[in-house]
Amino acid sequence: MSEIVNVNCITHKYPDATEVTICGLSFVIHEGERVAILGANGSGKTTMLLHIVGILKPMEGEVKVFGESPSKIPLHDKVAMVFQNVDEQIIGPTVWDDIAFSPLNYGHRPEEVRAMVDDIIREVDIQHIANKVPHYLSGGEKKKVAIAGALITHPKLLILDEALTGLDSKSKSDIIKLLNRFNKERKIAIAITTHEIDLIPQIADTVYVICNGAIIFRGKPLELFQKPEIFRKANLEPPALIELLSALKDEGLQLEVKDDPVEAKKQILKILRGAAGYT
Amino acid sequence: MHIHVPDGVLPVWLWSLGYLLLAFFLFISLRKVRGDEKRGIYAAAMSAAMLVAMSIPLGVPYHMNLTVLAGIILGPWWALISDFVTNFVLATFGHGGITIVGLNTIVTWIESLIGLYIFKMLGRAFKQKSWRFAVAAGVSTFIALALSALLVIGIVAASGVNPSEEVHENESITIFASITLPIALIGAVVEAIVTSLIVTYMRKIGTTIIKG
Amino acid sequence: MSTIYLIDHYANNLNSPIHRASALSKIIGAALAIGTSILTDSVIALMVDFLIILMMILLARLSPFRMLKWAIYPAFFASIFAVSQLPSSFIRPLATMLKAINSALIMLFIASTTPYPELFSILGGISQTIGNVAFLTYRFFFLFIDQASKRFTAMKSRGGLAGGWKKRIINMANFMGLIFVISFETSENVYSALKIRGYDGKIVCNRKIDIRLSWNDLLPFAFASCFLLVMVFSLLFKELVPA
Repeated sequence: MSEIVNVNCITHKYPDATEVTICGLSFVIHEGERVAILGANGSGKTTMLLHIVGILKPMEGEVKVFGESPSKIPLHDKVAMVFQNVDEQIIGPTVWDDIAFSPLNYGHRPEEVRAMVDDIIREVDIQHIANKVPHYLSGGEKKKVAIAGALITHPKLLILDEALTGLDSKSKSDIIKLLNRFNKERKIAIAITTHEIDLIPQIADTVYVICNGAIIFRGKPLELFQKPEIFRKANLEPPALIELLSALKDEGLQLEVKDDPVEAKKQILKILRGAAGYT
Repeated sequence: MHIHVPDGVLPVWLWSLGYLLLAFFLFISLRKVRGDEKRGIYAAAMSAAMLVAMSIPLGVPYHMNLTVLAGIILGPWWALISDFVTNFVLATFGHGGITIVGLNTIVTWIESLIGLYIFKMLGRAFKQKSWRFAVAAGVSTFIALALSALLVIGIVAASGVNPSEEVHENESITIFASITLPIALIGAVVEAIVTSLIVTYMRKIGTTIIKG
Repeated sequence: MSTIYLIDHYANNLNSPIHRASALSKIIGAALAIGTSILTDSVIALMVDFLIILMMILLARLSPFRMLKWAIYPAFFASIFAVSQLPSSFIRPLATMLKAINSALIMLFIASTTPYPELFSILGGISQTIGNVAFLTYRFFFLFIDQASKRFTAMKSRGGLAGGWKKRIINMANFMGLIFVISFETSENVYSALKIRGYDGKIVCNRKIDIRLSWNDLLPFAFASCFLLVMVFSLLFKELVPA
């Protein structure tokens, strides 16, 4: 799989003189890959994403997206972003108008725009709110509208900044299914920052952990769960199941630490039955 | 100051003139603002902020205009567009007739312009003083609103408040001015103080929107 | 709650034959109603128009009491004008007051039965730039009013309005300053989001005013005809109708 994003040790200074540095391991996204970025608040996750979409320019270091520097060459046709506060990116008077925003601005003809919008509305399953006014939508509905507005241009890379924050379980599940479907069907690479550690295995092939301005981990979700010290260092809470299995393993039980509750149940039952004399 | 005159009171020639002047200046402003789409977003934010500020109940039949602040922040040409959109929205719930939108926009724009230029002059005059922004904002707001109140009275006088033959015209305009001017001047003082405090607050938190 | 917020809610969430009618038929009716105000000083004609407007408000399932309450503000200012006309007669000031109430009510009726984006598409027809500002203003208004009301509640709960008048003025001014700062920070973020979505100052919304007519337009056209009749009658029979 070819590399589409490479971020190498960047430093950025905000207007209020706050300096953010992200070094350590380099941040890489491959074509069609799903990447999750974990880190405590203020660790630099959003800053890194804003560099990838070209809103921020690094003072030091290098950012390459599809081989180009995104702050110099606009990559709007290849990269789309869903912001943390979706209210700031939904600007159309109705859902339909908002989703039509990008293709209209890219010069597509009105008939083409109509077809594109109708298609994406169907794919994201928001036909029932297509004519609604955004400020009357729920949080989950707004996220879907923002995602539809981002996906309508068929980007190769979709970036989501805390897309699951503030949603109920059903809405989170809907968004995850939607993203995975687009990733599988359209080979869209996805980069998502989140605090929902339990959901990482469902939404990511690769996980990055940022701590105190450094990327301290890059690997598969299960590899991360085998390293509780990474969580501690990064001020993150591991998933409850992983914490339990790790604690039992530390006590001497023969366990494989996995994030699968069914597998964990089998292992624990095996141990308990063995201890009770059952076969 | 907003002309809170209903439709059908001012003569057709007067409000038509308002629309003609508006069309003329809008034509110029649209050419001047070309390529400055970022400030267009500010203009929309300013219009919305003005409408929100007007929605804040002060307990009296007076609402903040904040047109001078719009002029200071947006500059003359975007201020005109912002004022027009705001006046259009206000007309949709009866704050000034729809036929008066042209005149209202011109009057509020003149406020923005007077306020902007006095603000700049005072800012330059007291360049080294830390209080210059607050004082400049307050003084420019008061002068702009006071002058626009006189302009509104002039417009109403030009319209012929009471074209009845039984009454001397001066009597009617005197009554109108004697009620309007005190209210307008009190409002101008209040708005000058509030604008001054707003600018002070914005400078205190380090925003660079206000430049003197 | 803000007037604009409620008007928007009525326009988008209520359902009546008048809500379903096209913007065009309603605007024609409003134009004729305002035309009567412009062309006549007849109190009787204006009273009849007032009653027609009230009927329209009732058929649109809007609250006439709320509409009249909203019309008080423009009526108050019209009263200053009306008082100036008192020296000659009582009829002219009465006509002025009726004009104020009628034009406020008809505009409130239009805004409460026609979503703002449809009205803004008129501005978009003048210029895309003005239309862009209008559509963005609409969206921003609801973002800011939400933030403003939350912060206002927070300020009140922390004693922001409990002190003397001097303290209250300072707190209210700081509150407004905060709203302006939030509005500009939000607009910066919105601009970034729009740039990523391809915005270069051209189009925010391509909406055109809905001029497709249907059976739902019969009612607005019927009212428009009534306004036209009143206007014609008051112009033709000026001597019979007191002015």
